[in-house]
Amino acid sequence: MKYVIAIIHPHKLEDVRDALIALDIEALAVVEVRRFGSEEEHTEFYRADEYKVGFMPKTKIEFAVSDELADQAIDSLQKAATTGEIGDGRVYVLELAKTMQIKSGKVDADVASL
Amino acid sequence: MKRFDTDHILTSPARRPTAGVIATLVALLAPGSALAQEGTLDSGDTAWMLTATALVLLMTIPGLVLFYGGLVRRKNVLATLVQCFAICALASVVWMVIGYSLAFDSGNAFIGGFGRMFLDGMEVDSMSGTIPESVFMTFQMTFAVITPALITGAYADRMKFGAMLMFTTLWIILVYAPICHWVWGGGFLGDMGVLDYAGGTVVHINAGVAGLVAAIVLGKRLRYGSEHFPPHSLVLAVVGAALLWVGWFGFNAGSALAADGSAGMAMAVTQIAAAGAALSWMFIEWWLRGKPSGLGLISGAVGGLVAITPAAGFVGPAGGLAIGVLSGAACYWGANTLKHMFKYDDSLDAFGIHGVGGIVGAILTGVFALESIGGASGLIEGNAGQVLTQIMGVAITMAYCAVATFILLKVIEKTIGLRVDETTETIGLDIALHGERGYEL
Repeated sequence: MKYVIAIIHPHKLEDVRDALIALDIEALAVVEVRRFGSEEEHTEFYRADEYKVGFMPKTKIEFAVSDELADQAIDSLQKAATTGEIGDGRVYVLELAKTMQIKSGKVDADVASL
Repeated sequence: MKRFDTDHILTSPARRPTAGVIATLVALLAPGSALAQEGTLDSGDTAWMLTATALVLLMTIPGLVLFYGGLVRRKNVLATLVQCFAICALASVVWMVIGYSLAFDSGNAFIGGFGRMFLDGMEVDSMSGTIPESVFMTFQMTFAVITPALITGAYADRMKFGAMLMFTTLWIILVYAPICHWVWGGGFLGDMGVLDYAGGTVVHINAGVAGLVAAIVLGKRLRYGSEHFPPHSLVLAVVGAALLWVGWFGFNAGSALAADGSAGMAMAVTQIAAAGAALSWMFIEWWLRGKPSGLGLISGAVGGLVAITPAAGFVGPAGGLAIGVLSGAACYWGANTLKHMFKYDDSLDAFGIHGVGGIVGAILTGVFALESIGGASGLIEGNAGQVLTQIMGVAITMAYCAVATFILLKVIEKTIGLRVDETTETIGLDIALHGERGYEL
């Protein structure tokens, strides 16, 4: 089982969700985050105050996926989230030991989704 | 504002019964005049002035409150709102107790008297021109509210609350009321022929210069220059600026003190100048920095409103547009270049916009004034002397305001202290001074 964390463009969230649903990955958690990346900056100005902003608004998504589906899921996610530019984000894949459904307390060692 | 003849205040029957009766009789007996007589209530004028007074109050709460509140950082939003709101309450009381008397009681060329303290003698039938004195007094009260509230923009993020209250009280008594008297209360600036229709000198130059002095005396905010302080909500700032714009009709057209052609022309040029200045700031910023920012657009509009304030009842539409376009450019320079040139931290550009806009507007009033509109000719009608008179008015106001404000701040600094400690400033004034947060998110 894998746990996938991806930092993506906020405007790519719907595309990524649709790509994951197509693989029957139907539960994911989404958080608005700010990401610092030295390669990606933009300039903001407020009257005299002009500066480079290093913290960019991003969306972080997290989901669990079975080992069989993992590579396919990451591949679909990448295709759905990319614009080909700096700032598209990154995918992190972690080993996942187990999950538990809170409603039932059922421990599951091999679910496709969280 | 029309020059205020202090004799009219004193025609209150309660204070001068004989004079009041005579004035009323004269008014009643004047034959065939369609115009309202001085001392006789005109219900149209009164209705408009009641409305205008509410509009000017709207400029401070919630206009300025939201404008300034949006421009500060999230941790200081509530403190900024509270400063303006508290000033609204405090200045009203100070005006009632002594401010109005010092500004409008008959005194000498420099200061009114103490005879109208606690509004002594103001009865239900006291008149001021064609409107009740109570309306005139309250209208003026809203001016005394917004002027110290404008100064908060310069010392935002770092002033002690108690020091702010003390400064506001003393500043209204020692700076605002005298200058108000000089220009509108029968004092020497009015007698010199300085034109200030709605408060370019009394309100905006005065607040701008006091703000500049306060920014310098208090010093820069912690980490100014190394950290950036972007506005936490431009949405609030835009809403606030929009309310300022709307309320300004009460400020300028209300300063006719009547519902007449002068008020109408003041309203028209106010709209034209605000629009011209918003566009000129926007296009300059677009040209110089590549993007037309929302903050620039609203800053320009406010700058234009400031600049047309002294000119409103004296210039025509073309003059209004010229004043707008020029002041938009001047305020852009004031908020972007001037501040960096002299390295002071005027947090929200109280001087850059109100000071610079007020100075430009006061001087340009002397350029574009038309005899046919307000009874005074400016440079474009060949009266170069009016420009000099305006410059004198600006210089005297700036000098007195700067010196008196400086002394006042130094006295407060030595007694109760002006500036919050570093921890308070770092945590933010909302939690440290007021024990609450602007947003529970």
